[in-house]
Amino acid sequence: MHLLHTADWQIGKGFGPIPGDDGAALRNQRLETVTTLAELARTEEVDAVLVAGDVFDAQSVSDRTIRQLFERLRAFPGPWILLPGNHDAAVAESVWDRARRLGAVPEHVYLATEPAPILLEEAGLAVLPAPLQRRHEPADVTAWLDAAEIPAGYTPVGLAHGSVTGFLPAEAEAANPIAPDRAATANLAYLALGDWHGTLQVNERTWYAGTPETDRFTSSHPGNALLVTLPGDGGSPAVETRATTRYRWHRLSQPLHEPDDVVALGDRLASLGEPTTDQVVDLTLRGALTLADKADLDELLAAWRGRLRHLRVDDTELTTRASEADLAALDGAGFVATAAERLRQGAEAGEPADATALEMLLAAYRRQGGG
Amino acid sequence: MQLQRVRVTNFRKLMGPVEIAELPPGLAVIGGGNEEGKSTLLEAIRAALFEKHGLMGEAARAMQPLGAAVAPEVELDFTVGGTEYRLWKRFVSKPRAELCGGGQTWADDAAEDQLQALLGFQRPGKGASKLEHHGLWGLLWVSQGETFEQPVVPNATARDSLAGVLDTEVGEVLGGDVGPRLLQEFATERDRFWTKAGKPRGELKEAHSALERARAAREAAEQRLHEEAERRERLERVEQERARMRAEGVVAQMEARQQAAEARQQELDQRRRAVEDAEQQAKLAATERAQAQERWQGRQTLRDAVADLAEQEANAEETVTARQGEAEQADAERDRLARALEAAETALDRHRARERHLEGLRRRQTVQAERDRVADTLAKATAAEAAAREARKAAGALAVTDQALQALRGQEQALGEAEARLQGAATQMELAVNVAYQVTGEAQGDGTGYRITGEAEVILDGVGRIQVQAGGAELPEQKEQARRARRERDAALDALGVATLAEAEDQLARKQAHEQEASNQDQRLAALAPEEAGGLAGLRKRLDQLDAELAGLPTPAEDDPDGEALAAACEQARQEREGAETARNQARQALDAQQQTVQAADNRLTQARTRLEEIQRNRARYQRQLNEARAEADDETLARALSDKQGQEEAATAAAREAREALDALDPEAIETEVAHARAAVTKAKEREQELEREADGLRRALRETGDEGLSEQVAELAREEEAAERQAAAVEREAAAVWRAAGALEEAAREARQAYLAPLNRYLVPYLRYLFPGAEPVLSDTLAVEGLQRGGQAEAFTQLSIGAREQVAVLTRLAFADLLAEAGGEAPPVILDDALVYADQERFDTMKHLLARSAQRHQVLVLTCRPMDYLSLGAVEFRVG
Repeated sequence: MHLLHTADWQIGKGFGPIPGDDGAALRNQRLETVTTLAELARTEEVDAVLVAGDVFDAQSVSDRTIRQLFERLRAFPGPWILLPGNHDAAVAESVWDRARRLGAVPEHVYLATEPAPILLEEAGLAVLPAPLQRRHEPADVTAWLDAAEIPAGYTPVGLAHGSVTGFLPAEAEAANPIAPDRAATANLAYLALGDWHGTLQVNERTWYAGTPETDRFTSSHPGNALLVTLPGDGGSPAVETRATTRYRWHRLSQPLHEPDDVVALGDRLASLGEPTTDQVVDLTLRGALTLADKADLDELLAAWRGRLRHLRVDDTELTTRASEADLAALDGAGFVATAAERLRQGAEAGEPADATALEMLLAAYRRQGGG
Repeated sequence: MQLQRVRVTNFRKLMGPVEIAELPPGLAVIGGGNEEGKSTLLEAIRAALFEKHGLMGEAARAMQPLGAAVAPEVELDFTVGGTEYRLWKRFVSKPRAELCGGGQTWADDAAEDQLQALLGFQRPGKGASKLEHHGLWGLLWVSQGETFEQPVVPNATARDSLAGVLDTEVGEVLGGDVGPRLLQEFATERDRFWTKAGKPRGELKEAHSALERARAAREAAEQRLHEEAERRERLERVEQERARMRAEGVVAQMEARQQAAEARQQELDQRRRAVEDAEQQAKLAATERAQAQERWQGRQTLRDAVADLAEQEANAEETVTARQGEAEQADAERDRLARALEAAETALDRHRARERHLEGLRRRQTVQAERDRVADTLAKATAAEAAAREARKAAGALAVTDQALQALRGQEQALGEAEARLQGAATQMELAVNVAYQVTGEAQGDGTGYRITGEAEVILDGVGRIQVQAGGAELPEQKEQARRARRERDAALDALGVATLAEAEDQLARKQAHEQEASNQDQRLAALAPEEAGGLAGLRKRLDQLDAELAGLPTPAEDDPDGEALAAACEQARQEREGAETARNQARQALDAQQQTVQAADNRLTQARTRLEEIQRNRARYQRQLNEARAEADDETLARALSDKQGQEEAATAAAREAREALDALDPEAIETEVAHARAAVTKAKEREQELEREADGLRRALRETGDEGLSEQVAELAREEEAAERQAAAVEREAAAVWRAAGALEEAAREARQAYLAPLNRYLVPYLRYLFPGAEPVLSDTLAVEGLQRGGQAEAFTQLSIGAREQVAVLTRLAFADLLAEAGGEAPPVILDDALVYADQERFDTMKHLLARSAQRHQVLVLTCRPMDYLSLGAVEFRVG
């Protein structure tokens, strides 16, 4: 039996730090990635797709977003079991209620909003969902799996969203706890989990799939789906990690002091992978460059802005410094040279406005025909 | 540079060649009267130096003498950098230029170019040159009346020349051409972001506004999202509560409690009804007992009444008897008193008759006396009236009156005067003769002679007769007047019946005596018989009345007293009559009192009889009622019935009390409270259910309405826009801050450079100024203009200084510029002052002359003046124009 295990699609989520068209493209890619998943399910001929929570980023996504998502699911006609997570908990008037009311849910898509077995007769699969019916559940909602009754001949597979107790970093365990041995105590063939955005194995039969499309710089090992094969003899599941993300997120930090540093930065950007338009980069620059080197840097960054999906640059720690040659060009410029020298002193004393002012002054001086 | 010689021909008013040669390198004074051509000389020098020889048009024609078609020519000798040059130019007609110097000669345009290079000035594109083209010449060369119009502002070429000198002094420049442009550029840039007061504007302000708008939009969307989340959470809590209420069966529990309470309420109601029944029975028994009691009491009352009335009847009979005795006794006493009253009234009548008789006699005496007095008065009054009448009659018989007498006196006087005038007009005749004589005719003698008023005749005895005729012209008139006056007087005397005036006066005196007598008698009559009392008629009427009264009064009898005895008898009679009246009144009062006593006794007797009759009627009626009642039920039957009903009432009351005690034992208040609470609880629980249902429906509706809006996506989008706005604002802020700093740094550096730049000029200018303005510092502009003076911490604008001070500052500034140039080894043109210092007082003029001489030690100074003697003290070389 083959299953495709995925989670944390978070459809409708924005990209706060990434403005404009870049942000729109990234947001749209979440839906595109669902198509990728459907395609993967179809090519791998899986028996079901298990989505372990946080399908939607919020209860208040627009109707259009809801319809768009369910339309994408038609690309794979097999069963999809969608589990409410903490972002889209099965609360009153939830996004799931709205989807049903809109008539957007295709027949082969199961909304696991109740803690009750979903029996897929054709596959002989009994999906035991532990939906979150509140955003934060203090108790382990998978507890009922231990006593769940399923008809004979069905393979029991758990589906839950939360933090495996004692397994994840402390900040991830604030709510929605899941017992680490739930797969064993409930005698499950596999426990498909969501909430942790990186792909992560908890134990032999328990995995976090992670988000299929990377959406932040900090997640570890995101951008995958899990292809799970359950042997007919009840043995251990075979789990394959399949990359599904389109965009790669990179957080870089580069010190800049010499011209070579600018060149090295270009090399680093070039080594991020192809295609460059699928790379999202957060670049922090530190140090101090001469005006000429700064001009080179600006040119380099302008070029990469066009090549990357998104390049965010934090250069608040980067200053410019006037070289001796820069200042020498002002010889004979009278008070202009005096002003430039004072701005240079200010810049060296850590006054960023003075550094920029000096840069402006020198540029204006050249433009006005001085030097 | 130094001017050495100038020769002018056909230039405006300077027609014949005018030459000033051998100008010294220092101070020279060029004198000339007004209109003699000093300024024209300067114009000629200026034209030679700065106007192209080929200058055409109005400017060129203006050089020609008025109405003369001749070619103006100017020739100048000067030195530059130690080299001697000669410049010659001819204008307008066959224009030419020639410059020789340093062994070379340049002609026409080449000469012009060489001259321009040599002296460092500019030329206009076309037309005549202006002051701003003249470089340092323009700065140091001052025409009449220009010095005090405005600050000395060096033209551009002059500044360039000065800058060349100053550069070498301070080794610094004002940023060349680029510096001012950068200053302007950054000032403009700063204005783009900041107001003069340093507040954001334009792009910076808009970036801030955009950020605020984006933030507000995001916060508003977040607020809506938050509200939606709260609604969802609220819906969840509401649903949980509804589920809990359903699960716990809250309403059912409340209803069960209500039913139990209501069952107890029913039991309570039954007992209440039992109490009401028992109390109703007790009330009925009490009513019946009361009725029996009432009947029994009625019988007793009737019996008591009959007995009581019998006793009252006996008493009343006794009372009637007593009252009859009292009435008879009173009647006997009243009869006795009536008789006594009759006797008293008879005695009173007798006393009254005696008193009236005596009083009549007394009245007669009084009336008789009055009657006698009135009769006497009447007689006197009648006599007075007759006397008055007689006196008036005597007066009336005399004709003369006071008025007639006055007229007679006037006529007498007029006659006298007429006679006098006649005598005055008469002829005076005196006779002195020794014979007897007789005068006849109209002549009157007066002892001394005669007055002849007409014809007269003097008969001299023995002698003869003399006829005399008075001949005065007025005499006949006078005689006529005298005759008319006499006739009038005589007529008046006849009318009065008297012969003379004295007789008339006597007659009037007698008449007045009679009138006085009449008046006196009238007054006497008025006193005796006043008008208000009716006069004589009143007296007569009074006398008649008194006579009538006397006729009515009694006449005295023989034994009647009279006089004093009569008065005493009257008094005695009055006292006796008053004593009889008192006795009669006492008898009447005693009779009246007894009459009331009789009436009171009769009344009491009547009352006693009435009372007796009423008692007798009542007793008969009650007795009849008692008899009738007893015929229906005797007294014993009634007493037994009452005893029975009393027993029944006690039994019913006891039963009601027991029922009440049984009811109270159930604690009805607690049961009713419980029922009310239970019912309220059921209502409240149902209401709560409905309320929750309504709220849930409302929340669902609201959530469905906002569901499609995609609020979370909106918030994400708005947060993105806010961040973009933040980045934009930060970028603009960085740029604006940098522009602010760059502009500030440039301006500060420029200011410092300017100060350094101006220092050399100040070095020369300040000492000059302090000769005239102690403690003053010049305020120099960027363009080297003296904008004013700084004195005692106060700045004074150039235009605020007096005309004299402005002129002096302007001259000193030029000297300083020239000194600076000379000191720096530059080529200062001569300082030329045309009729300057005309506004200086003598002291300052002397000081200025001293400074001019001092400055002239460094460079050439040419003073053109119409008063060369003023400069004599300088010992300078003097030239004359004209």
